[in-house]
Amino acid sequence: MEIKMKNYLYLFSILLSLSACEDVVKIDVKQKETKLVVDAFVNNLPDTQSIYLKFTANYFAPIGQQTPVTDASVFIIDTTAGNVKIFGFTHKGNGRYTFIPNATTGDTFTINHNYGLAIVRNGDTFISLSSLNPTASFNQIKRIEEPGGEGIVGGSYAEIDALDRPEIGNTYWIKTYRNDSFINGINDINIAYDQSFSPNDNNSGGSFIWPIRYGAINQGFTRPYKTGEKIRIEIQAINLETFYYLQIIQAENQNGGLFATPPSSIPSNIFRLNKQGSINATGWFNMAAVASKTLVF
Amino acid sequence: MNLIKNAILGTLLLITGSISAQGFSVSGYVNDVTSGESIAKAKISMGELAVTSSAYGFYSLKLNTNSGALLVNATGYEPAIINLNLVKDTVLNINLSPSATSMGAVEITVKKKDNVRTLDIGNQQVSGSTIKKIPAFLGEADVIKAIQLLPGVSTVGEGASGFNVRGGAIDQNLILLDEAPVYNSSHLFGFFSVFNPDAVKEVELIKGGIPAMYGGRLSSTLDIRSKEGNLKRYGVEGGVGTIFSRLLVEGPIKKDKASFVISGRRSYIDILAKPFLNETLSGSQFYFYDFSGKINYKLNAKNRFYISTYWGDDVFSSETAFGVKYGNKTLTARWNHLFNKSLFSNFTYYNSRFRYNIVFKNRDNEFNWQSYIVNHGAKLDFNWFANKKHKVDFGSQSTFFNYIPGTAVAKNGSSITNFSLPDKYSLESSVYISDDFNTTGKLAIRYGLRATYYTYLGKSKVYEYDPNTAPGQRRQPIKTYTVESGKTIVDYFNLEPRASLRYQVNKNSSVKLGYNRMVQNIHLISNTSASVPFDVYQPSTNNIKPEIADQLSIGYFENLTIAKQQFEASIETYYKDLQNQVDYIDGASLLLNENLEGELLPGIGRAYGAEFYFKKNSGKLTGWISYTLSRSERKTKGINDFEWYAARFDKLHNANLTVQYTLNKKFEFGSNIIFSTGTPTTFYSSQYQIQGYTVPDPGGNVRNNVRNPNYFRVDLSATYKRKNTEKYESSWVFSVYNALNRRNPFSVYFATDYKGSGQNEAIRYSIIGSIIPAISYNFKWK
Repeated sequence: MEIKMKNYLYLFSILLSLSACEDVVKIDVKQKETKLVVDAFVNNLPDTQSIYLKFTANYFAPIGQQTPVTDASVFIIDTTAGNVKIFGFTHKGNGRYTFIPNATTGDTFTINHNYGLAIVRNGDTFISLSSLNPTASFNQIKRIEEPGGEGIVGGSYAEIDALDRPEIGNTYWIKTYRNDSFINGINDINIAYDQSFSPNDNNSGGSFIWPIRYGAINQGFTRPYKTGEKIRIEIQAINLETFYYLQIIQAENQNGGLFATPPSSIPSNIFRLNKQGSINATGWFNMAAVASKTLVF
Repeated sequence: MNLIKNAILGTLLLITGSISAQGFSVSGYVNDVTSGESIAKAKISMGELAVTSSAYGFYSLKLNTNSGALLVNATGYEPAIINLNLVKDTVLNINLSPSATSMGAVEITVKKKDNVRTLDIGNQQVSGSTIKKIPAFLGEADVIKAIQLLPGVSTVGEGASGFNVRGGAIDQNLILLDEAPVYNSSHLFGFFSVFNPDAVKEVELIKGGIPAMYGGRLSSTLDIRSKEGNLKRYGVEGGVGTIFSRLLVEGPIKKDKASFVISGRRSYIDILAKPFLNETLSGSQFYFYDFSGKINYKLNAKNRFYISTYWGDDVFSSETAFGVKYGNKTLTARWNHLFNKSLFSNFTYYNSRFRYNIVFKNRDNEFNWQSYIVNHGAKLDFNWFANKKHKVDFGSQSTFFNYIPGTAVAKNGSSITNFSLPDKYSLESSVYISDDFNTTGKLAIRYGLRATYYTYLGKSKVYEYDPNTAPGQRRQPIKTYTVESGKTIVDYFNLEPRASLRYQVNKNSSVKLGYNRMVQNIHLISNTSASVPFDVYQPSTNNIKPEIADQLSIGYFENLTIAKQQFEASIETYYKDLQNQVDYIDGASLLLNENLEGELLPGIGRAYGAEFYFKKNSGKLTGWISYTLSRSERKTKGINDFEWYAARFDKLHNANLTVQYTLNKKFEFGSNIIFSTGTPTTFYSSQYQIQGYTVPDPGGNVRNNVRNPNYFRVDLSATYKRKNTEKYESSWVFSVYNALNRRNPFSVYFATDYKGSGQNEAIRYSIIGSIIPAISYNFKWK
């Protein structure tokens, strides 16, 4: 809510100041150091699981053109007592390392187990820990007809019918796929702390609040779903730290204007085991249980 | 508490013991001859003996000889010389005439020595009439903008709420309007202050050597006294401006006994903007208003009563989608009582509240959020003109605070989600005593002590956080419990010594020293680059300790006469040590967060600087130059690798020139030239992708490692006074803000994937990006 409110306020500060303006300026920024970036969001679905390893790029370099890391060994280890098991990931090119779960051999990720990530490269070992938490109970995706007006384009939209887990302090990342492509706009990041946005004992165990179950999954209500279009929604149970990590990514990308906050240093849960090493790492590791539903309009 | 009582009593006895009875005394009120309003801080002197009138205009002076010339000086008034020949203790009410504003008459023959001879250090007074002469944004004279031209005062930029004094945050200024605290001093974010300059009598800013009667904030006290209302005749004044209009009506209820003053302003940008708004915004309201009213009544020579009130709001709303409203409301009731010729007292009850309300609506969905801070307080102040050498101020104050950080409800049809946070309560009580000890030689000393007892009270939910969390990380609560109504959750007791010393080098110059310890139990929680009205206040709790500041300042003051023109000059330096400053973890979530305290980091701070001030008081050209060289830094575990970093309002250089030139009876011109170093910010240096999102990274635990570009602005104004009569005067004011058409950066921020270009960019964001011309028309019926 904070972020959305900021957008409104930003809009109004511009409107009211009569002459506010923005200019692109050239600033010479040197990258302090190149780091190894770990992008490891793994879930318990039977699909192929991917971990991406790349190097950081200068802030002003074109987006998405990071140099891949191709020479690493990547493992996930089930560290749950009595269940210790190693899952090896294989490099498939361009810094993408994959693992295909296999239910028959029991090579799957299990709810309520604890996992460790291990990456070995060039004499350095990087590790991280995450637990695979259970997720919300996802009943269905409901189809909603909007008449339009007030900035909403009339037509069909989707709403989540799901319940937060009863305990306090569950966190979720709700990912929406439209016709199998992930809606990855920065404003479409949809994360929940219990059934709302922030810790509050009153708001646990029920339906997600309206902005989460409806407001944030329909791309600003500008593109209603046409007949035959498909929507798939995943409710991923993320770790609490991951919730705040995604919140920072969103905030940093939306920062600006009168209500800007100072840029934050970006946290990372990847640590190097050896004290003296050739490179530092950054990035994130999270294991999630996923509930997924699909609706065809 | 008994200890303090005894200490105060002891001090009182000590002073009483030294009273000697020789010469008669003269006492009474200093008033404005035209309006009958009292004049504060007037200086009444005879030879080496001098005294300053109290905030309510009362003075009492014990004389060495029973005949001689009594000299009376006050800023904005013609000095008066009264020849005395006393045969007994005498009550003498002194009437001063305002300095003539028309040209030619301003030939002050008596030297003003105020800044040199008083014990005040780090103290600046600005009268309502001076404020009105300074060129202003959209032609609207502004109290806070005028304050920002003084040395030691700065702002993050246009559009930033409040002001920063000597390296302090905006919530570290105690803003008093007729003794009631005001929490948000800005309309329209930071473009205008909430005080109608027509209704302001006088503004005093105290930055250093803060007297013991003031407490509760670390950096400064901005004491705003509103007009009392003309006791002699009716008057109407006002103006029609580009952005808003104002009107003030005043007059006697009973001549020389009781008077009233009411004033109001309203902006009409919404009315002007209407044709330019699109369909979605057509039902929108954007306006702000403020209203103030005051009544005063002189019951008899010994008792006088005042009641004053203020309320103001900013309203932005669209017909269907959202609404935002915020504003202050204050009420003050005061009773002045004169016990005898040397003991004056004032009892004040005050009540103040700041609240904001934000609503988003969408058909059957609604999100409604309100936040309040409300306080009720009472204070009793005594001014005791004990004898020739001692003037003692003492008193007590108690304030009850109710914090409502967020009442927030989301409705979706019949289902309601409640985000509300628990209320918080606190009580702060203080006693103080201060003695102005004038040796009648070269040395004068003011020494005082304020003792503050603070309690954080139930009913509230109390949180205990994991003490083993790594610095800079979010702390999670390990224990929560509810404390019943009225029960103490935590209490803090603090002693705040205050002192200032003046050494008179010669007739026209002095050296002064000031020390103050200040304690603050109210904290504005804000991590935006500039504060906004939607920040939340928090009391000191078991997790947030009282903020403490120790400030030492030293200054040299001189009055000069160059080519028959009067100048006032000063150099002041200060060093401030700060404890328990509030900072935030990276990515802190501050709004509607029950575990807010887990996002806060306590830090230390230091601020130091030198202030140069040169003011011309007389002649056709008046005005001042101020230059401040300063640093304000913080050090916090978990930020910037525990190294010192610049506070977000830190500015190394801050220079202001403000001049007014009176050409003739018809034309006056004014100009401001403002230069300051850019505020610090943090820059990103690298980027990477996580799950398809671009992550901008400053590359470590850094804070405020680079500077925004410098700020430079020139404003001009011209006033054309129409033919004025006894009864009516009017003028046109033409002003140009940002005359050099500079795009001064409010900030440079980084835009990741700027407008979907696939490229990250640095964006200079300027609030004012062009010349802003304005016309206003001012009138006055007398």
